[in-house]
Amino acid sequence: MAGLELQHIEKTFGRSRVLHDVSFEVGDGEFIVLLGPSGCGKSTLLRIIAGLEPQTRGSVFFGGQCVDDLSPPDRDVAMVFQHYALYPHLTVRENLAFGLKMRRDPKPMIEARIAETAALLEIHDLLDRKPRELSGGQQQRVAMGRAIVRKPKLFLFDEPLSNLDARLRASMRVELKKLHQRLGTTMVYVTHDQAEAMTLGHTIVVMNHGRIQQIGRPEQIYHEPANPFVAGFIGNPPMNLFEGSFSLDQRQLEFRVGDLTLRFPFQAHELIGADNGMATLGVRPEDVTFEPQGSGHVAITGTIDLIENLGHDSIMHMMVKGQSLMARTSSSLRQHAGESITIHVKNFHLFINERRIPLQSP
Amino acid sequence: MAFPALTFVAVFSLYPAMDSFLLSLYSDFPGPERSFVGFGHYAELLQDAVAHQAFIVTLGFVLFSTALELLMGTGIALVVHERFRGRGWVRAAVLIPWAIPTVVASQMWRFLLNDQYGAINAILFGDRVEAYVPWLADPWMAFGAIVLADVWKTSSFAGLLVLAGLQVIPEETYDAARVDGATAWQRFRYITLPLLKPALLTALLFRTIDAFRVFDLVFVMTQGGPGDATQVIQFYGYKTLFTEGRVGYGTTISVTVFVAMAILSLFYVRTVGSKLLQREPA
Repeated sequence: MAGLELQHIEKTFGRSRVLHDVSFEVGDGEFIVLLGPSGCGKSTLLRIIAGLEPQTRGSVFFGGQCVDDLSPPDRDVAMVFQHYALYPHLTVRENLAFGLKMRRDPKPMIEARIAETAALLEIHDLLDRKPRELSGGQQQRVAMGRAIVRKPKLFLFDEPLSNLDARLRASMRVELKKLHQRLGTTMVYVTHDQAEAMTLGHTIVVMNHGRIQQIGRPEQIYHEPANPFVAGFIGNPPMNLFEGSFSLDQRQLEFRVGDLTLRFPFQAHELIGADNGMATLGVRPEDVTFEPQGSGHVAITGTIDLIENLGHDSIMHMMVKGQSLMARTSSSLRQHAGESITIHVKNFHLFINERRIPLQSP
Repeated sequence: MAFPALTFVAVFSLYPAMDSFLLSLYSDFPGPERSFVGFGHYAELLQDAVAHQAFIVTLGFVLFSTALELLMGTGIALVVHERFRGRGWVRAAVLIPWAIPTVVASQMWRFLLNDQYGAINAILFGDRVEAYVPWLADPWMAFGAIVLADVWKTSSFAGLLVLAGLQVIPEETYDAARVDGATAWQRFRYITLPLLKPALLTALLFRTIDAFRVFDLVFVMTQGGPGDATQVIQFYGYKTLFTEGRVGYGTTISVTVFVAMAILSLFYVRTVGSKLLQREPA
């Protein structure tokens, strides 16, 4: 087991730079998730950590030791791939044994490890089958088994659940979390699925265009997104983002977008003395209520465009003076499309120059 | 809809095959006075020492050329599968020998190996004319020469089939093997080779059947000589039929080769082919 540290990692392919100065640290036994849209460089970063791809600049440390010159097996990492990458001509047993055989572990030890792993993942029945005789979920288990059986210092997961159907994905997510609790080994997990990131990660590294956007605990990323990208990427449905201009007026902030003007009693200390300017205002669909509750709420009136019923709750799409806005509502809401409605927003996110500005109630 | 296809097959494949078979059951000289000899020619073939020799030469040719072509083809495929600058050109260049008609290629090799003005002697011995080797006059070297010409010409075809096999092995599989600690050789031995088996078997199938039918190389380069050293079975059949005019016996040889090929193809399709169709890379 070992902690992981990346220092100023850069990667260029030909003329295009896919990673810009990426640095972060992962504590021993931590579960860290690299989250971002496809093409953001997260998989490349994982391959650099594995030693499958050399970085252009920067260094990788395992447990304080620089591993830049070590080959993947010498780094003692195990990786689970997106398409499982099982050896199709070998049985499950042989797939599990492959890495152990390569490092010339004694036979009885290989047998013992396979038995142990098979028990842990409940795959004993599958040991003598070939990968093509397995379902997607079973293949996924075997791929994880192949990583576990080696007892590596570090586990690397490259979107391991993205090829499973939604139900299986949810149950594997839970198993993966249990597995981590049981093994206690450091895990680095790449995904574009925010639900996986939020449920699995101790820490989430949000990436976009090869740059780190924010590093934080899941609730931090959700409640205090560092910039509009993170704000829009995390959350389902995504945060409503409006680009407009702001002005400060004594104890309240005024935000204008098109014909819509919002005045709210928040104060941003950082902005005191700042001139009027461009800003992005964010409202989470979850931060909308239909009854005024306490102070600090801003009432907005608009018309309902469409209601998507999701069972437990609904997503209401509404138009407010030419701006569209989504709100999460309870399914018991008795309004219909075309009707006028007043909502109350209890929380705002303000970004200026791509940076979060903390808002305080006055 | 099947009717046109069936007609085509009947007219151009079944009828000639059946007619050849009938020809082989009659005495050698066609015409009204020919007589029915039954399987007499086949009995003769079983006793024919020259035919036996030709069969052995053919087997030797099939064995050596196919083995070398698979080996060279795999090498070629591994090289052009790698990413490097100018790979497209190399791929095209590798296919040139295959694109040249066999008769032209054979003629070229005959010139290259000519004992007096051949380029190979000139390159090896320069002005020392006394050292020039009459390559095609020596039984073993002549045999080697037709194998060499065939390998030169068809390795790239085998390479093409192997390359197709290489390209369906996902890159991730190799990444997994690298993380598992397999060296380049181990990746080749334990991943590439077993996963290449279907492609190699396909190449083997095509190449053996093709090599068995070898004719033009021998016709142009050696005429079966020196002696009968390069006389392959198809060439022997040709000679018997067209040079000696023994229509019945010559046809018998052809029909025998045809039947042998049919049996070999069936065997391949049953064993190798069924595995291929199951997409079982085992």
